[in-house]
Amino acid sequence: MTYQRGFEVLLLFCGYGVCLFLGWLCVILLIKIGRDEIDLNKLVSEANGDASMSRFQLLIFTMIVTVSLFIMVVKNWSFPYVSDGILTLLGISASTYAVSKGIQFSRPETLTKPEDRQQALDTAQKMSDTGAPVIMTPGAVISGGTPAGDRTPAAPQTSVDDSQGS
Amino acid sequence: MDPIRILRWEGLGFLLALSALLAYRMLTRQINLRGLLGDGTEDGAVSPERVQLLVTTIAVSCNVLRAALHGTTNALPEVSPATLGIFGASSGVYAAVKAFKMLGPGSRVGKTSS
Repeated sequence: MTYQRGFEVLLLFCGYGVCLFLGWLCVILLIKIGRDEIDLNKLVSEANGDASMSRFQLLIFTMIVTVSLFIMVVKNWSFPYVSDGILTLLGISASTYAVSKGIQFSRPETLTKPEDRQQALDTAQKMSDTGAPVIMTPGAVISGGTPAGDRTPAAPQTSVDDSQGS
Repeated sequence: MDPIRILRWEGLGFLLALSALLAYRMLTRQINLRGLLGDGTEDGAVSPERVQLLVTTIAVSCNVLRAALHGTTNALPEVSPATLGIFGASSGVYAAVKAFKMLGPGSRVGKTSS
């Protein structure tokens, strides 16, 4: 009987400890989000800075399913049965996001901002005006040589006839 | 107080606070939503496929949340085949139009002034 009572008290203290720890985690998370230490500015943004509809849809749907799941758990204190319809909805949402991502990454220019591309274009034009060969990709400007005025002429090559014996 | 009740209030409080924080950040533009309904071109025209996807997502989400709040069984709400069909068609239309705009002939996405 004493062991039973001791075990119950221990269980109670463990329960309070878990509550304290989880509560502390939640508060820390909210404080960090509030202070911008966890930056959510680009939560639904694509690589070029614009907001992504597929990301927004995935965010909304994930939050809704999470809240619904939590409501069920709090009501019945057991993990609820997840219906096939909810799984299908989540699958459609995630698939739409994946397909959208794939389409976007198939066009490299959609990964950069228009002003960045314009700046790269201007830089390439300036470098090209000096005579240096320039290679421009959606991500960078690469110069592959020296300007025309700095180039030294190549030394004349002499051919060696290997067919004559020494 | 029972630890289970404390956990319940903690969870509810955290979810509510997080949702409120996200909503506030979106309304005050601290979470970037620029171009959410645009088609990615320079003029930033509104895309109908994005609007219909947003409307469908909100409608289905509200339906699921309402069913979860008023449900009596220990199960997440069932989704009717019609709802699944509508959601799938909406997502399919969005993906198809996006693919056509980005990969199709005469694509205007990403054009800059030269």
